[in-house]
Amino acid sequence: MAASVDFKTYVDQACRAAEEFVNIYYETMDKRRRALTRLYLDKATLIWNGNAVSGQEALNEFFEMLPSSEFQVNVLDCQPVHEQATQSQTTVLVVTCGTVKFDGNKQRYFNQNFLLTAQATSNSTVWKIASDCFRFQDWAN
Amino acid sequence: MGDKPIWEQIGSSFVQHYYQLFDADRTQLGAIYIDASCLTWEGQQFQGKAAIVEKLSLCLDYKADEDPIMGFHQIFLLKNINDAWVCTNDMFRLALHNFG
Repeated sequence: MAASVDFKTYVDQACRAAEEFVNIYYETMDKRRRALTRLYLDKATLIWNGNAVSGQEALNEFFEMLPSSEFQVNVLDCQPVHEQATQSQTTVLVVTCGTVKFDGNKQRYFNQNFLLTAQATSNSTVWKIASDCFRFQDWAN
Repeated sequence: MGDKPIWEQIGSSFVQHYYQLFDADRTQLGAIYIDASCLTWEGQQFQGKAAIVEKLSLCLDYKADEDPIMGFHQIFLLKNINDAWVCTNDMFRLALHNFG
């Protein structure tokens, strides 16, 4: 039983960290867009509706080009990623669903998933995005 | 197909295999999970091959249902262990917003 208790604690921790991170992410996206790439690793990759953007410089350029946004997150799911899959690097997988309105466009549904990895600094842990996939999810009824 | 990056080839082969098994015989899905695997199905969490297969085997047969066809999204994290691709993380959600 001990193992499953540990696992549950692990999941709860991962989810708390993810929730905090996601709040910061969308607030930064909507209100302080220029600071957004600080949340990404230097070599992070974003796939935006199927288009790949890699590295800080390209990400900066991409986010600058994107119209201003209002994100609303409706669902958040989170899992710890087993250390077997990440060479012992503490990593969580986060999925969000919600709505977004980009300036000059109508409101749309989106899904986004993040791989977040923990970076230990001298006195705290900072979560950074290693991988980010974004998709609009809507279709004609 | 030949000029696709390797991760895209792995991803599309996996997905094809996964949904074939899912629609044909879900009890076979155990082969792609390990005991450390996590599944989050509509927000409900399951860990380990046995628990995941049990959940997937019990879930409704969407196709045979009277329900309308629904959108969904699903995320798989795959890891190569001993020359085989296994799924360590799996998250599924129906796109319920289209029917709200």
